[in-house]
Amino acid sequence: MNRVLILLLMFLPIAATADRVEIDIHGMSCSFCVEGLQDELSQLPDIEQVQISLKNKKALIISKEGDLDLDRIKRAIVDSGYTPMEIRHIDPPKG
Amino acid sequence: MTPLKVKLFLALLACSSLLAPSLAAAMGIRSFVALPVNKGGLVLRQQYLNSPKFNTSRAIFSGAWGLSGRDTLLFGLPYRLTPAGHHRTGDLGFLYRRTFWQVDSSHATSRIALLAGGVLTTDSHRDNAVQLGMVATFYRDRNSYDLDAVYRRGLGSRGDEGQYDISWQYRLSPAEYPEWGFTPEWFTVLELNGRWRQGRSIDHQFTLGLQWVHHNWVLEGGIIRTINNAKQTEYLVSTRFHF
Repeated sequence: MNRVLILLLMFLPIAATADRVEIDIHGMSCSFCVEGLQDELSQLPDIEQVQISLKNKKALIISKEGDLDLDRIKRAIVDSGYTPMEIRHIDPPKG
Repeated sequence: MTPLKVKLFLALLACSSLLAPSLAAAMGIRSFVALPVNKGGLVLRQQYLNSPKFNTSRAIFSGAWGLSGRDTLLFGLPYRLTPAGHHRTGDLGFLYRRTFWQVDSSHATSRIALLAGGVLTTDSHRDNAVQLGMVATFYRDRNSYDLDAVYRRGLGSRGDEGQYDISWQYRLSPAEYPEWGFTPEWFTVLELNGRWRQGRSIDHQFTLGLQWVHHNWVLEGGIIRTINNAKQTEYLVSTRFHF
C-alpha cells in the first residue's frame, strides 16, 4: 500500500511557482498603439498578468504557474509591431 | 444650395473615400501613419465633418485590421449626412499597408510603409480607382511626425486624385509617463494637408487639432482651413476604439 502511495506521489504534478520576466521592448510610442500589445500578451495561455511601462519601454509578465514560453512571448511582441530586446528573470516580491 | 456648391460637395465626398482609410490608426488627425496595429487587432473610427460655408456635413466610417506586425488592411466609407437626398454613400476605399523599413530604439521609432489598394464605387455613375502611396512615421519622446503621399489613378472616366500630409503631434500631457500602466494622454496636432483632383489646382489645408487618448479610446477634434482656392473652414470631431 505504501509503495502505491509513493508511486502516486511521484507522478503527481509538483506545484510550480509563477515565473516573472521583464522584457525591454523597443518601438513603443503612445498608449493607444501599445494597447494591442497588452491584449496580445494577455491572451497567451500561460500568462497571468501583463504590465507595460511606456516610461521605461518594458513589460513585466507573470506566468500562471511554471516557466513562461519566451519564444511565444517574443513572437507576440513582433506580431504587435514592436521589437523585443533583453529578457530578465526576476524574483517575486518578498513578503 | 447652388449647383456649384453641390458639385463641390460631391467632389469632397468622393475625395473622402481617398482620405477615409487614413483615419483608422493613430495618430495624425488626417494623415496616414506607419505605426502598427497588432495581429488580429481592429481599430474602428467614426468621424464627423461639418462645413458651415457650404452647409454640409458628412460622416466617415473607417477601420484598420492588423494582419501582422508589419501588415495592415485599411478601409473607409464616407457617408453624406446633409444635404439629404439619394446617393448618400461615398465610395469604399481600401489600402494594404506594408511596413518595409523599421528602426526601433528605446525612446524612438522610425517606420516607412508602402500603401496600395483601390476604391470601389458604390454608385453606377462613377468608376473605380486604384491607389498607391507611401507613409513615414518618426516618433521620439513627446514628438511624432507623419509624412505621406498618395496618388489615385481613376479608371474609365474617373479623374485622378492625390493627397499629401505633413503632421506633427506633440504630447502635452503627461510630460512623463508613470512607472507602470497607462495614464490619459493629451496631444496637440498640427498638419499641412494637400488634396488634388484632376482638372483642378491643389487645395492646401491647415489642420489644428487636439486628441485625448485613454487606453483603447481616442477622442479628438480639429479645425481644417483651406488656405488657397475656395477658402473655407471645416470642423471635425472623431472617436476611435482599439478592439
